[in-house]
Amino acid sequence: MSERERRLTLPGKIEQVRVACDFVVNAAKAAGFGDDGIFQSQLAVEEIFTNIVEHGYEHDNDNKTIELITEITPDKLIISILDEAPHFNPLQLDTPDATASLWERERGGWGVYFVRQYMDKVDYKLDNDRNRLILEKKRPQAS
Amino acid sequence: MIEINVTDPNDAVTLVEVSGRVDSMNANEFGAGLTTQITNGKVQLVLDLSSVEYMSSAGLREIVTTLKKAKKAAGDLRLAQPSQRVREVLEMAGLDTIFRIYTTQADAINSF
Repeated sequence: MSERERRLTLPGKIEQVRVACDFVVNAAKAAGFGDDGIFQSQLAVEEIFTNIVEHGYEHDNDNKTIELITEITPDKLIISILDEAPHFNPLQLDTPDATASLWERERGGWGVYFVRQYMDKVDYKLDNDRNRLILEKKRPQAS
Repeated sequence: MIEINVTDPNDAVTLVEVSGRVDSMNANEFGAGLTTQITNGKVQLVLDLSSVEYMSSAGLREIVTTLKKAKKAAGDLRLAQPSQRVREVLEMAGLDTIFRIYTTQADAINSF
């Protein structure tokens, strides 16, 4: 049983990424996170939101949306991110190599890795034909 | 928002001081500000990150791209005084071993 659930549906455009971040910052504050947890939560959401806009919608979204749902339970903050892009599980992406040389490095690839580092649990599932990524982070008093 | 201030502390080095938030919304602007220096022949660059409180992978992508361009032009991009939070994302991506990172702006400038 959650204490509080909030929902926000945004146009799938990069200009909306800070609105998405602000929404999650407020949820993280309400969940009792300090500066580090707030930073980590919003960075995770920025990375996923950006990937959806750039790769899922390819900046050509035809009025497609991204929905954010935050839920605060007694022990964790749960952030769900839903999109209408072609079905894709970003958790299947290869982990980038942090030991790669400068010249071996491709542009990008670190976003999902950062999400995994900063969140305690990340799951993917299909939800009524939408991609749903579920990020969970333990609340401070529960860790 | 992001502010980019460019100065030449000496004949050899160009100092780029950035303040604000570097995210996917303004990373292109950030990258363009860095690339412009190289296009103008200023290839020995110090990027002072002390006033950047937030940088996501979009910002990292731009500094890696700039470093490649600088090195191809026989120059370098060196970082000065990243905040603890920015240093953390640099380290997660293994970029602390790719970039030369200095704890003071003066050390970074004098390293050239």
